[in-house]
Amino acid sequence: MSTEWLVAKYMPDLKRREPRNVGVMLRVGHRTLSRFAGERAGGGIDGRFLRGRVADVDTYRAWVNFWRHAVEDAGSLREVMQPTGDENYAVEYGGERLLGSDAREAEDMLDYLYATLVEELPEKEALSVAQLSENVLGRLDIADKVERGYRLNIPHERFTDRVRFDYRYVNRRPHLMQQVSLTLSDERSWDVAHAAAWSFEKAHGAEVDTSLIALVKQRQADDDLERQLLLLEEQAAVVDVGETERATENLRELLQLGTGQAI
Amino acid sequence: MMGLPVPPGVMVRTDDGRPAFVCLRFGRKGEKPPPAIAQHVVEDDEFMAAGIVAFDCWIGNEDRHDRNLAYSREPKLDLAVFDHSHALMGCEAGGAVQRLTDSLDKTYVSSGCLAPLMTKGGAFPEWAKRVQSIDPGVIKNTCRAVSRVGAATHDEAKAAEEFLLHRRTRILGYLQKDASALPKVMEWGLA
Repeated sequence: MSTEWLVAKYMPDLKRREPRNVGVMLRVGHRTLSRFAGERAGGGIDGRFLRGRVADVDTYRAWVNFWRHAVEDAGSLREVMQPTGDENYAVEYGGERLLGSDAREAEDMLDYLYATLVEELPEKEALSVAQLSENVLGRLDIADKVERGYRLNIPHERFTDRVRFDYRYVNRRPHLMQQVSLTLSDERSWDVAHAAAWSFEKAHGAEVDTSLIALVKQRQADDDLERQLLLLEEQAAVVDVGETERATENLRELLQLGTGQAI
Repeated sequence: MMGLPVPPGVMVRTDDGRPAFVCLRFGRKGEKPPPAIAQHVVEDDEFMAAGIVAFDCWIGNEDRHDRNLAYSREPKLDLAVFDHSHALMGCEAGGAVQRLTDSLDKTYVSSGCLAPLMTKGGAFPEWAKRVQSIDPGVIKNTCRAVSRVGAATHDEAKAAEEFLLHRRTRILGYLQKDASALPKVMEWGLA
């Protein structure tokens, strides 16, 4: 499956003609992903993060909404291209990658392109739960020691189910971790929370002395978020990977690092 | 004259002395809003959408698309209708008089992006009335002025004048004649 991307540009001064990259739109198969400067979890544009970057935040928001609509509708991404000309906003073809497929890879690629083309140090809210989790594991210096995509066997009467966990790390005892993105304030976060809680429940039944950890990226607090976190806390320890330093210390304690030898 | 949100423009002379029409930069802080999503224009202000369809019908514009309409539903940015450069004289060099003469009664409804999305026709009589109410003297003066500054030949200006005056009272007829270009319009509100 090929992956193509476009780069959204903003030219503040039409005389100086110095465009700046403000967003990336990516298409993987039939799926479209995008990220724009100032974008918050849930897709809204927060003008506070754009001060000094665009002349008028509402015009920028309107362009972002238009681009999102256009890439969803377009048969080919090239239809959305709008070369730099006499307008402040433009879209240029970014490139194409011919290999690679799965959904998580697409998210990672979007993160990579955004970080490379738009902002060298993307804001926390622009990073995916996968990137934030990897960041914390890296800070704990165990990124190369954890097992990724671990399959836990769950025996049933007639077959053995295999439940996937994002990470497994053994230190004194096994630790199973799931990335849980609760950034969307709609049913999708409930689906994610239910799926994670289900996998933890299965792990409880299958392995006796296993610690279970939810690596969560949260949205702004609301009633549903609180209930989603309570649901997860019934089954696992919850670590907010959006708060990098605190998450690092919490995970250090949960993984019993510094008190034992990693295997 | 009609009450459509057309950004102001002026005739200028370029550095090499040629006449040109320039539209002033519009949008907040001079930044042009994004192209309109035609469906949003029709859903949010079908009256104005009807006005654009009627206007394009009058001036023989076959080139109405999302990039010469500007509008945003959220955040709300006002509708603007601009760049009618392919209307009237067309875009073929030296072909203006022929075009204007040959297409005197062509409907010019089906080629725009709004007509297929319209669901109500009740506003068309009002817009037809507005076109009809434009003083013939103003149309004549404008066409002659364009010729005087050298932006059109005498023959081209004369053909444009006749085209506009002829069509001025026939807008509703053209819309009805080309009703198939407005497939979702069931109620026309015509007397």
